[in-house]
Amino acid sequence: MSVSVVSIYQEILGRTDDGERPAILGRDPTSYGELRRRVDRLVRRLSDAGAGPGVRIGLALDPGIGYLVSLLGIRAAGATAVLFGTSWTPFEQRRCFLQAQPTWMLTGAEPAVGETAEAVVACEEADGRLYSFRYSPVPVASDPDDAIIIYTSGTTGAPKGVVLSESAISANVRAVAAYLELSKSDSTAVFTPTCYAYAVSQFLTHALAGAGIFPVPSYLRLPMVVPQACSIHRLTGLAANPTSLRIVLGLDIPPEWDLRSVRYVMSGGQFLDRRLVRRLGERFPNTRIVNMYGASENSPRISYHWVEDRGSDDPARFYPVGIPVRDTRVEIRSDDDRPLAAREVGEVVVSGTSMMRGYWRDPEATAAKLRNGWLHTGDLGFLDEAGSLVLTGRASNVINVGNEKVSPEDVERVLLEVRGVAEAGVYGVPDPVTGESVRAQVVVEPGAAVDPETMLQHCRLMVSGYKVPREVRVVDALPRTLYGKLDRAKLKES
Amino acid sequence: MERTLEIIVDYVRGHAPRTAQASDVSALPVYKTLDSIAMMDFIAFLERSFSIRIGDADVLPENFETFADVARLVESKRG
Repeated sequence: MSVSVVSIYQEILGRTDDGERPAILGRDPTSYGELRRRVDRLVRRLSDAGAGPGVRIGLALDPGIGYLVSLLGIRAAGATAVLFGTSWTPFEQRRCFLQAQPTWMLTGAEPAVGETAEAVVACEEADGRLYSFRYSPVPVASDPDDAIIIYTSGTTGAPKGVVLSESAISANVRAVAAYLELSKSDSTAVFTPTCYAYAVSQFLTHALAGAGIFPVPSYLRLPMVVPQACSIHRLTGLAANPTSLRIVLGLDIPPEWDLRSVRYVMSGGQFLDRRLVRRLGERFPNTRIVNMYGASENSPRISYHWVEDRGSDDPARFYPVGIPVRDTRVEIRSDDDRPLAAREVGEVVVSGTSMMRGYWRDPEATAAKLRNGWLHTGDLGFLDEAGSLVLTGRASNVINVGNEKVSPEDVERVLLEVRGVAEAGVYGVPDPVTGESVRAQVVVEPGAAVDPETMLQHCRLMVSGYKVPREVRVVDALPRTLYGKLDRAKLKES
Repeated sequence: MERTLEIIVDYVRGHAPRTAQASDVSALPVYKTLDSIAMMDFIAFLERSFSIRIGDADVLPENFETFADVARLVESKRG
């Protein structure tokens, strides 16, 4: 696809009228002028090292000036950024490393990818170091328009790299900045993991608007940082999933902290209920609430809905996710891929200028999800008469722990690696603090002597802490459907 | 104070995920060493071990940057 929208990268880096305006707020305040000087330095360094179009650079940095410099600089050098989580275990890092084959890794800590770097270069401008890796044979080049690859574990548990072009990202960032009416007087806090499209979108929409960004490198480990930053820096917007918003609302916030500057709170990733809306309105008195729907594959925003009421006490009634963002289309399809009429429930499919090019080196997964230009999301919902989308169910089994996502298949595979484990079922249960927490049931092979503690130890070694089950129960059998598939609904109830 | 520090260091070393190398643990901010779940467990551990109450407003970076910061917080709560 040709570049049909003006690149946001060129616009952010080409601006000359905001040299003094703060881009990064907080501990390391940085102006837009300084941001651009640091990006220039990184581009020179990458170009000297030979990084240009077609080359992939792994990026693993926490929210901060270094992350924004890298996000912009890697692309300005013509290369493709592959996003890695900063809390991934060596196993998780290596899996994506082998799939993505980045020639460089730009990180704050030595990458644990099972290979030794050929050379290491300090990158003060990005608050990290650049590690180089050699492959034999030489890995295939990326398309010159590929800006970012984002890994998603999806429903099968195998990592899939969502390839987003510069034009797709530009289209989506512009559409989001437009509906939020972002301007240079806005500012937000970023506490979503930087390997998610959600964080990329927050950084880039605000950079495009010339707005301020307060990075939270402690994420929600220290949730009090969020309301404190709202009060000190007069932040105007927050964006998070309902679980994270509930964590913030549950805090004992000192009454002298002033939260009146927050003009919008954006909720996404999970169902937004009326009780949460009421509580948000009480805590942030001048805020409007916007519900939204996204997927990494659509760079990521698909649709949005400004909530018109003040909520209620009803936690069981949910808001729509609304109308598509500019230049994105949403349809509802039947099982045989026929478009359905208003109020008929079916699979949500999406197309438009924000769509991914496909999954990196995975034509089968691409063909399964992206058919005739339409992304089959696996989510269920309907459109009302006004064209507003209402989600009724998620086909994926993702468990939300705090602001992290856990694919049950990911943990099940790790449990099955333990000698003596015959079957494993992983599911989420409600948790008062983290929204959901991970639980597992396993069936052991007859006569095998394997205890839950051994299984947990193996999980701790292989996957990030938030994915490790809080409890493993040994059972005689797992609930199965008529077709022999794991019955996930029953698993939760048992 | 020294004993408090020792207990804190032992706990964090024992609960740091595999990504944080043992030598790194003292170089990283405490809040980066533990993930969000481990951080909640850590606070509960401090409350239990030292019979103190840590309020939400105490859980800010300035109290969880270094081991000494955590020890100072604990001591101030015991005082």
